[in-house]
Order: sequence, then structure tokens, then C-alpha cells
Amino acid sequence: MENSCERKAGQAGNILDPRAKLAMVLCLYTAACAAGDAWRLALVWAAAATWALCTVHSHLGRSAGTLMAIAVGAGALAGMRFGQQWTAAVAETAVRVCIVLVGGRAFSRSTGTGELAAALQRLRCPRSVVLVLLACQGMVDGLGREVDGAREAARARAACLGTPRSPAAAATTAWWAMVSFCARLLRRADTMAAAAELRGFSRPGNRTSLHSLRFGVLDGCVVAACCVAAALLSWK
Amino acid sequence: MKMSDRLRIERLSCRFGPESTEALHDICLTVRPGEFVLLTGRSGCGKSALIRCGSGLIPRVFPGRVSGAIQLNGRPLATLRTWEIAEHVGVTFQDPDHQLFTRTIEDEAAFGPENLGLPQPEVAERVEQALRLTGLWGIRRRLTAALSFGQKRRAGIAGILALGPRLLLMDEPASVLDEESARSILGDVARIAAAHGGSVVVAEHRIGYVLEFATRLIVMQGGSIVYHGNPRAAMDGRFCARYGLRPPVGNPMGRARFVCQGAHMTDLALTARGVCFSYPDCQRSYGHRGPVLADVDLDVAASTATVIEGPNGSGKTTLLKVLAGLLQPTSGTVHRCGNNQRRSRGSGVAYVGHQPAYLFRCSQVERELDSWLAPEARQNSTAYHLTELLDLGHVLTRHPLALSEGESRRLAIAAALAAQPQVLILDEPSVGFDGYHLDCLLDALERYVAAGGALVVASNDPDLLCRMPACAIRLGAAAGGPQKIRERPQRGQSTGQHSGIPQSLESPPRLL
Repeated sequence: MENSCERKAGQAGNILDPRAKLAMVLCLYTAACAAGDAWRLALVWAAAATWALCTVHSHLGRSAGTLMAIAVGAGALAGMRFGQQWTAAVAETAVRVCIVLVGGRAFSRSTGTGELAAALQRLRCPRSVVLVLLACQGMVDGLGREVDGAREAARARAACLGTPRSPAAAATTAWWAMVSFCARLLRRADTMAAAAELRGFSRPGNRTSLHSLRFGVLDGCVVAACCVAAALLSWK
Repeated sequence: MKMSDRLRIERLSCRFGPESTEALHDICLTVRPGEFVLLTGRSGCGKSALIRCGSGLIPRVFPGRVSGAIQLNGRPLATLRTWEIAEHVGVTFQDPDHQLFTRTIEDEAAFGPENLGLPQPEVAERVEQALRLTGLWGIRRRLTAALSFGQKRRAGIAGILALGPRLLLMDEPASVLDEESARSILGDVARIAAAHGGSVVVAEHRIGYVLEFATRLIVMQGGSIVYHGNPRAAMDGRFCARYGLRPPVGNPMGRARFVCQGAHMTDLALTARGVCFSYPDCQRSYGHRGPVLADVDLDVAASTATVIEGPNGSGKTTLLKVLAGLLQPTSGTVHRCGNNQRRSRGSGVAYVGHQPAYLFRCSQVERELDSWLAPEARQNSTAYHLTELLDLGHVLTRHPLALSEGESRRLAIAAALAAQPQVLILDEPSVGFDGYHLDCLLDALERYVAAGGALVVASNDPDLLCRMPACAIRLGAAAGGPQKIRERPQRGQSTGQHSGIPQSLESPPRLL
């Protein structure tokens, strides 16, 4: 039986075709890049609302959600209170980054890997690119676990030997955590490459798909609306 | 018509790795249809190298020099393209996370057939068949990241079965798995292989799980095959001792061996009262929401060893992290008591978890050990004794990150012991250990406990559990249910019990 967490994870975006969702993310990105001062606040609120929706439906994780909220809030405040050029630039960048992150996260939480692969293939994306994207997406959760492991080990070492007091010692600790992280990552990538080879990864020719995608009326409307909005913002 | 051998290896030698060491020497091996071969031997004897060569991964993916002849289903391996090998042989690796590519179980099973370009109806049929055989059909839409370790292992096997290989090579499939999961998975693999005329080769240290299914035993030593024959030979303790294998549980060699002296409840090193814990992210509790630990009371006394056992996902690791102070309990308290004068630095608690490599901060094993040495231990030869005790003498000049999994774990445990903590907390310390190194580990831990240390070990390795002391606690149902610690009498021995404090030891076991 599927648990409630997984059921909820897909509720927000599962009704759309992955290609429509891809188009939404691209349009959102275009809009975020093109938006001027007049649109910034609207985008801030849009990003915040999307973030809240994703947090409720996709269980983003406390730290990721908090970071995004802080970035959006700080960006908005900086833009509103000071209005100077550099703060405005920082604010805009923060808002854009947040919009892209939130859009991307919402996309990935509501799209299966098989659906993504099929959607990319229908869009004539090269097979090698599709497979590399799949492998990268598969490693994302693993990366999170590695970071957790590194953080816990640093705390375990500090609990046993004491916290490094000098900045140099702290820098050494951070450096070695990074070295271990990279070493483990390379080893993981090697094994994943081997596993992929033994599952026909390198076979030339077309890849088929378990999922049959159908681009419906709703998908068409969403894509059209997004494209129009992005075009208007860019023109403005 | 005579069916061709699934795998035929003739005079195989192989050199690989950064130092181009000879991993395999003059190996001859034939695996026939329907066979279930158990491949075992000491760490570094060449089991994994043989699996990698047999599947063509060396030299196609991992660089190395290979000589000799290998045939898969009667076809020379050298004439097969890499993706064609996938239809002849499937390989599972030690860590199932390293072979999962997709977000859901169904996508994972479909990944291989989709790569082969099979038509959609056939992909769907193969996926359903593979998932039904591995018992995952009911949860096919579940996220792979939210699966338990055993379920990930099954998902990896399903992904391979969907390709329809005739030969399955499994590298330590039982490591970290609890007894029930390991037996269940291996039993299912044996059943599937028998039903479809497939063959299985399992490289494993925990031979107790595999012996009941194995039709042939192969023991390797120093890159060569030194025994080839009846698996029942491994039931003999002398046979296991000769080749450094783990004796199967129930063997006279697998006996309780710790002596815990002078343990009194007044000598408490660690106490937990009413500890509850929930993860904010449901993926860490295998997709289940709610508390992982519920109302846990626990006392750890000096000069005792406490074993926490339970199925995968029962909360062992979470409990250890709470005890070590790495996680803050949602409610309840953990108090580290004991002699503060003895403690010269840190909190007096050492924790070695699943990823020991992250504990290291030096570029040489010897220097790493030195960096952990307690100030009072610098005057004597503690580090030297530890390297001897845990068989690390031959790697002292190597980089800690270049060590194998077993060596890395032994170094982390040696480093933790060198710090002379009041409480030593170990999570699955015996993963990747052969019989000889398991003995080394038990010797080192026995000395630590005898010297007044408080040891807490979480494990579901029966080879370790049956040789640890009587103070054992067992966590209940797997996967996310609230876990309340209760006492479990330890294999025919009585345990002392304080009201509400289940594991404390009043009558220490005698060394048999």
C-alpha cells in the first residue's frame, strides 16, 4: 500500500503532461529573468505561494524550505526598503534563483523518471543527454545522504575529540569533509556507471518507454498561457 | 541438446587498482545451468574482482589487465558488446543505492528493457513479471528513496530480472540486511533461478544465510581458488578457521565470549529517559510518518556491552544517533554521566556510523590514528597495539580514503578506541568483515569493555550477535512504527533486569 506521503507528493502536478510542466518551468525562468521592477513583487508573491504549495504537497524538507523562504523574504525586503541599484540587483537575483528552484523542485516531485525520459525523447532530446539526466536525477537523493553523513561524522568527531577552536582547524575539518565527499562521490559514480552499462545503457538506437504520454487540452491551455505570459514579460 | 554452461572461465588472471596488484591468478571455474554457487574467502581475496571480470566490467568499465578466456552462455565475452552482456548476466553490487537510477520502483524495473528498445507491451510485461517475482508489485509506485535497505535490494534485483539474464552475480547481498530479509531475498532468488533455469553466484561473508541454498562452495584465497566442492564443508569450524571464514551461527566456534566484570548500576555512563524521536522528513523513516522511537528508557553502565538488534528500519541507527548526541530527541532526555575527571576532551562518547570515511582528517593511516589518541595514551604504545589488534599494520602508510570498506571501518573503530571514550557507540561494525577480522574486532571490543568502557553496538549480524554479551535489547516492528525497547533474553542465558531499565547487566556471562 502506498503511504500518504507519496500520494501527496504527486497531487499538485501529476495531472499535467511532463512536457507541459517542462514548458511551465522554462516560461517561469524566462519571466523571472525578464521581469523588471514592476513585476518583481508579483513574482516574489508568486514564488512564495508556489513554495508554500510545494511544501504542503511535496514535503520539501525543513531546511530547504526555510532557506528558500529566507532568500525570497530577504530579496523582497532589500528591494523594497533600499531601492538602491546593488540591493535591487541582489534582490532580483535572489528572486530569480528562488523561482527557478521552486519551479524545478515542483517539477521533479511531480514527475517520474520514466515520464521525464519519455517527455525528453518526444522533444527530440539526444538519447545520451536523456540518460545522463536520468543518472543525475538518481544521484540527487544520494548526494543529500552523503552530505548528511559528512555532517554527522564531523559532529561525531567533535563530540569525541572536542570542537576545533582555531579557524585553521575548522578550515581543515571542512577541507577533509569535502575531500571525503568527493572521493565517495567518485566511487559512487564509478559503480553507477558499471550498473548502467549492465542494464543496456550504452545500446545505440532508440529507447522505448513504459509510459505512454498524451498531451491533452489542459496541457495545451497551460503551455499557451505560460508562453503568452513569458512573451508579455519579455516584451515589457 | 546439451545446454551450454552459464559461465566458463579458463586460466583467468587479472591486475587492477592504483597499484596494479594481482587480484586474480589462474582461475578456472564453470557455472552450469541451475547451480547456486557460494563464493567466499577473506576480505581482499578477489571475490569482487572475479564478479567484475565475469561480467566484463573489468576492463570495460574499471581499468585493469585481464588474461584468460571467459564465455557467457557459450559465447566468448570478448565478442559481446557491453549492452549485449546485460541480456546474459546481471550483477548486484554491495550497496543497492549505487544501482538505482529512477524515482519509482516501476521505473527502475523498466529502465533496462527501455534501454534495450523493447516494445512497450513487452516492457510492461517484463516489469510486471519482475516486480511480482520480487514481491514489489504492490508498492510499484513507491519512491525508491523512501524504501528500506531490503526493499532497495529487491528493487535492484527486479531491475536486473526484467532484462532476463540467465546468470545472476551477487556481491555481498546480505550485508547490512537483517536475518529475515536476507533469508527471504536469497530464498526468492534461489526459487526464481530454479524455476527459470538460471544460475546464481553469491559472493558473501555471512555464509550462514547462503549455505542452505548453495549447491556448490568455492573458497578463494590470495586471488586463487583454494576449495571447490560441497557447501557442507563450511559447517565444520576447523574448515572455517583454516580459510578465515565466519563459522555459521550454531557452530561451536560461534559462542558468547565477552566477560563483563564489575558492572554495577551505580557505574552508569549513559542514561536515556522517555526518549521519543520523529524525523521531520518522512523519507528517512522509510516513508512512514510518526515517531521512530517512542518512550525509550535505557541505561548503559561502565564495563558492559549492550547490543541493540532488530530488523531493518526498526530505529537502531536513530537510537544510536540520539545516544551519541547527533540527534536531539523530540522529547525525553539523554544524560551522559560518569567520571568527568577522566575526560580530557569532547563529551567522552565516540560514534562510528555507516560512513566511517567521513571521520578521517589525515592523509596517512598512522597519522590519523595519532590524531585520535587520548593525551594520556600518547606515552605508551596504544596506537601500535590497536593496529596489531585490528590488523591494520600493513596499511599504516596508505591514505585512509584509499582503504577498502572493511579496512576503513577497522581504522575508524581503532581511532575511536584510541580516543579512550567512556562510551563507544558502533553502528553495524561487522559489515565487510571476514571470520578472521571479526575475531580481531571482538578481541578489541572485549579489551575495551574489560578496561571499564561502556559499549553500545547496533547490529543484525548473527555472527556478531551470538558472540556478544548477554545484555541485549531488541527493537520491534520494522519501518517506522514506534519503538519501545524491551528486554530479550539472550540465547539461553539469563539477564539481570532493573524495573524499566531492560538491558542492564547484573550477572555477567562467563567466557565459555
